[in-house]
Amino acid sequence: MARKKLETLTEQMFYVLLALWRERHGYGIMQTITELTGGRVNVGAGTLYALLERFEKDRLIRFTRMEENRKYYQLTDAGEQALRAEYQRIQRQAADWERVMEEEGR
Amino acid sequence: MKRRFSLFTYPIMDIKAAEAMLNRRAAAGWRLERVWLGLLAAFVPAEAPVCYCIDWSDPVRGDGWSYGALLAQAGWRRHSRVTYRVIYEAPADTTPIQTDSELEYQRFRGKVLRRMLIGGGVVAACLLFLLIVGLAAGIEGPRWTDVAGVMAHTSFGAVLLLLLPLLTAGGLAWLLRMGLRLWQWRRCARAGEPFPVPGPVSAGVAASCCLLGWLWAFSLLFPLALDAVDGSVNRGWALGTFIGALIVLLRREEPELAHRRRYAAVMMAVAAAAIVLPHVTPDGLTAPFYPRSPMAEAQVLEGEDTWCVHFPEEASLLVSYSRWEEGDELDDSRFLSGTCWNTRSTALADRLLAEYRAEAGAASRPPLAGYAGVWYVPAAERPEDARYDTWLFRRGNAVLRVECNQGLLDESHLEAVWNQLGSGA
Repeated sequence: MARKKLETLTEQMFYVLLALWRERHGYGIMQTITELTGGRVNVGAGTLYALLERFEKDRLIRFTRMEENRKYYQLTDAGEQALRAEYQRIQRQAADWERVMEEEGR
Repeated sequence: MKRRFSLFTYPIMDIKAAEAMLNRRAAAGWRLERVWLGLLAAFVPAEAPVCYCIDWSDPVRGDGWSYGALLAQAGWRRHSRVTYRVIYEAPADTTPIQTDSELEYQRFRGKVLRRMLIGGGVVAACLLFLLIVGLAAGIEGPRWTDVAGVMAHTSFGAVLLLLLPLLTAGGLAWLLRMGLRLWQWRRCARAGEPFPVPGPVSAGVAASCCLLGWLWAFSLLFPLALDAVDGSVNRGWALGTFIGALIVLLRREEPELAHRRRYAAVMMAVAAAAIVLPHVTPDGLTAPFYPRSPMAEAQVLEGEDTWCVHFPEEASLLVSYSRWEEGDELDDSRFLSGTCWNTRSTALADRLLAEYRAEAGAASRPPLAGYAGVWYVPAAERPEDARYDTWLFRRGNAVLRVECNQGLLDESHLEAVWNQLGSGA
């Protein structure tokens, strides 16, 4: 079944939005994600470009400025809301996991 | 410098096979030097380990500077472009350009598929037209004189027509492979899995087929050159192409459209050659490449008051065609018209003769006694209400049909005609 992105964020989407909690440029986002996840998640430059275009179109992020040939972006209120919703979804998943494991005694 | 070469004729849907090949070479310590004509990849020893990504790209509308800038910051240097694909090079172990199969699939659809569908639509329309013509011809059987007529008109058309079945089969195979890839990519995009890499055998076969396609395309240059020298290329097309290419060269200055300017320059040169060559090359320059027209200067009737008109002959690499008429200025009962074909193909000559024999009602009639390649059908024995006797000659791959007033020719003329036919057969 096709993934309904922006309703359920993919891992790469989640980390791109998370990295934009603070204003960053494209390559800065890639570096931040790699550092944040210890290299577990890497976002390709082409993929990041497509995501930024899409997030900007959906007003989850906004373009803030241009400096040294680099475009800077930051999360919007709608983006923050989407990120929080995703975090809560993941939390609920984790809570469900813990409850089932407790019930099973593992 | 030491070099290695690899065939780089991967069809567009085998982008992952091409990328895998580049990375296999890179892992063995080679870096891509350049891709010759989009056909052959040349590798030189790499000073530092590298890796490659091939990214989709619309050849007409670029991605804009910000896309290239982001890729450059991530370490990807644009190496070269091959049709819809751009090859990027980066230090080994750089994160690939595309890390999300669904977004990659969307990029393919946005950048390439739409444009391919336009071209594919034109090809599909041509195939449909051919199919309809083929079916229509198949009901009553093709008229081989029409087929030979088209082949005699231009060398380019003759070679194209000859190889059309092969081209059609290749086009269908290409479409099927594209369909298979689209299905695979869509499935992977939905599942969030990376696109599959075609196996070396499958990719090798596809690349070899594409190479044959390229060789076929290059082989068309020779008949095209012959047509240009003969002045057979449509002047309107040549002039229109020249003007169109000139406009592209003068108006499209964007750096990302360099490939389009190169293409326009080539087309302008071809159009200019088609316009100029017929005027600067000597007559008969191409004749040695064509089957001879044995009856090009024929005159069968004798006498001072006879007239003879030869119509412009047509000749190509595969077929020559000539037609003439003769008569008597004083005597209406002496009229003759001749049509002569000479082909490179025995099969085509067989079919032309069979068609003429069927038209004359001589399909099952044996040859004239004592002449293995001559059939005579008097007007009275022809199926329709015919005014003329028909003589058919077959010598080698030359086929001659002579229609004349009843009893005008007899066996005394045969030897002269037969010998003349033999001069070019």
